[in-house]
Amino acid sequence: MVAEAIATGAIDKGLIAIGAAIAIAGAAIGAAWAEKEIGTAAVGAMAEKPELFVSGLILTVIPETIVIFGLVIAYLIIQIA
Amino acid sequence: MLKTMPMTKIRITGLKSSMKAVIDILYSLKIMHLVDFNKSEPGFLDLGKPFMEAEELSESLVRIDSVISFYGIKGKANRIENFSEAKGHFARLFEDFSSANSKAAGANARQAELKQKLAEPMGRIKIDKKYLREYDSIAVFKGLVKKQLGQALHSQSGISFKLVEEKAGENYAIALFVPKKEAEKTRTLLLNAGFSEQEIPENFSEEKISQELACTEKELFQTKDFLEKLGKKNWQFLLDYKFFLSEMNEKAETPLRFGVSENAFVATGFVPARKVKELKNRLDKSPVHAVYIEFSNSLENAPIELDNPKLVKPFELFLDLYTMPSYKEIDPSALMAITFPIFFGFMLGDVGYGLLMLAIFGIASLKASGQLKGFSRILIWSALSSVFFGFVFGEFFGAEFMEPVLNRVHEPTQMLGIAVAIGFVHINLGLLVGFYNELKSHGFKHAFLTKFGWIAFEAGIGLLALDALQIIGIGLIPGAVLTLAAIAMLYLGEGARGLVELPSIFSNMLSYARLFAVGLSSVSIALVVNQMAGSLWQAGILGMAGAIIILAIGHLLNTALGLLGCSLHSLRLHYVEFFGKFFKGGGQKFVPFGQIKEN
Repeated sequence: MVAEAIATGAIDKGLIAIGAAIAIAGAAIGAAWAEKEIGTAAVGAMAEKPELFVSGLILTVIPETIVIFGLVIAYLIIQIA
Repeated sequence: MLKTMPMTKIRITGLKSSMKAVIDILYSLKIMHLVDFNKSEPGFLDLGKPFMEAEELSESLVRIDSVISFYGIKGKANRIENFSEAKGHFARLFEDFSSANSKAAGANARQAELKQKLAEPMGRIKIDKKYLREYDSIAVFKGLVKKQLGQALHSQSGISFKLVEEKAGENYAIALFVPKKEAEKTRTLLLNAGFSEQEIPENFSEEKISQELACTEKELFQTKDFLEKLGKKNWQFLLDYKFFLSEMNEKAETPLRFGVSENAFVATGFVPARKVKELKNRLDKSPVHAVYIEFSNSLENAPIELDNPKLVKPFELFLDLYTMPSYKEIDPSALMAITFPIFFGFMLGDVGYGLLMLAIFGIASLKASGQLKGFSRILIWSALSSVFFGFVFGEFFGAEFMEPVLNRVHEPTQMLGIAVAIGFVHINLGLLVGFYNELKSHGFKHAFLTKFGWIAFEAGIGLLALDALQIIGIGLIPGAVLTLAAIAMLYLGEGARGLVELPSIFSNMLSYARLFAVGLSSVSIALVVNQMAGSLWQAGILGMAGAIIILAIGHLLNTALGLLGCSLHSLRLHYVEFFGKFFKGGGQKFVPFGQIKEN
């Protein structure tokens, strides 16, 4: 069975998929972490000054772009297959 | 559209004796944004004092607010014609209200007190007080125990006793008489039963208290009924009078915003340029004399009134939430009115979801008011755009219902390319708007260096990339020269900050990849829901019912997710990537004197 998997290239494909998954998972964890830190601070600031809602929202979503980078890299990895 | 309403700065000077009349006129016109007089300005002017009646008015306002909050009155107010009649009416009303209110409070307190008295457990023991005195040979225990005592005492041989026991809630109230020599033994027994010593209230009469309680309750009911009727009868009057009082109060306190000398006053403010004539005419025609109006071209700190056609109006909400543009800046509402629905539709891109949202927000825009109504209008446009892109992608609730022009599940490369291309266009549009803004505020040189610096940088990197990919064969030199020139321009225009931000222009464009990514996740969820329902469908009637439930819940959930995700992401692309290229904001909103505050 293993030999068959090697012969058909199934293992290669699997490894590529795992690589893509790691790319997006890492980026997502990084973005989530950053947003958590900013989000906490933003909610704290909003409790003092509710009009900071939009500034807080903007600051909170800035790290989101990191996930997009992850997505693009994952996409490039998948292209290898 | 694009430009905010042109303003004119106005200064009205007049005799103090005509101040009140001028305030009345300005208040009724509702076209002037007053600028508070600043005492620190050099000159002989002092801060004005509120009119005499201000104190009385604010006192009445406090009173009427207490009545209004008591009844929770809300609604639309009408104009009051006869002030003195209304004033008298309110004085009587308030007297009735406060006396009834204090009566009700008193009755309430008495009711609570009587109820507590009635619930007194020791009151249940009915023994004449003279038997409860101290004896020489008999010990008396009065109080509460946790369990019935009769049995326990009987089983204790040798103790002779007399017990009065009444059930009181979970406990038992007791009066126990035993010979003194048995007192210690009895005490242990009582402690085991959870005894706590309590006095028996004097003159306790259940009947009398109940009677008193009924009486109080009746009084309370009557007072409450009276209060309720009073409120119902005067509901509209209270609204009207409150409105009237707040208007009067605002007018009476307006001199605080003026500068005054011994005999004259000066009021400064901004009026929309096209309404200046109206103001001048009104003041000229009025019987107010000795008023002098000056116009000034200084538009520093001019307030901002956004000036957009009806279709764009709802999109002003986005600036309300963010910040008003400054006076010379372009008002981006109209641009957002085009791009926001496009981005939203590109992400959601499903005929089914689009129609569902159209139905929901169509109804909402009819029923809602205020900000919610505006938001519903925005989402109606977004829903229409989703239906359009639904046809492009050929999707109906995730299912492919027609041959798509562009299949976003199977052609991700094209989708990614289109998304980033949209970003390229959007960001360069932002840079062009930014060029205009900088031109107005800092002149051509700065505008050219900062905004065209970015465009040249994009072009330079683009040439390098095209050459590296061997699409064009001009060598690396033209691209490199253009890139270096662009970097120099940015350094001259923005300083070191420009250099630090160099890569951001590309990360900003890449950020538009979310247009594709969010859409893909929305389709994937829809596909999963459809697959789950599809496999259940084959499993008989129960399976069909389950499939329908899964479809309904799954697609509703996905619509909600799509609504939240697509609007936030679309908004973010505008606020962060687009506005970052040109928008500074910080303008003050135009609030004409006399405009009713919304609350």
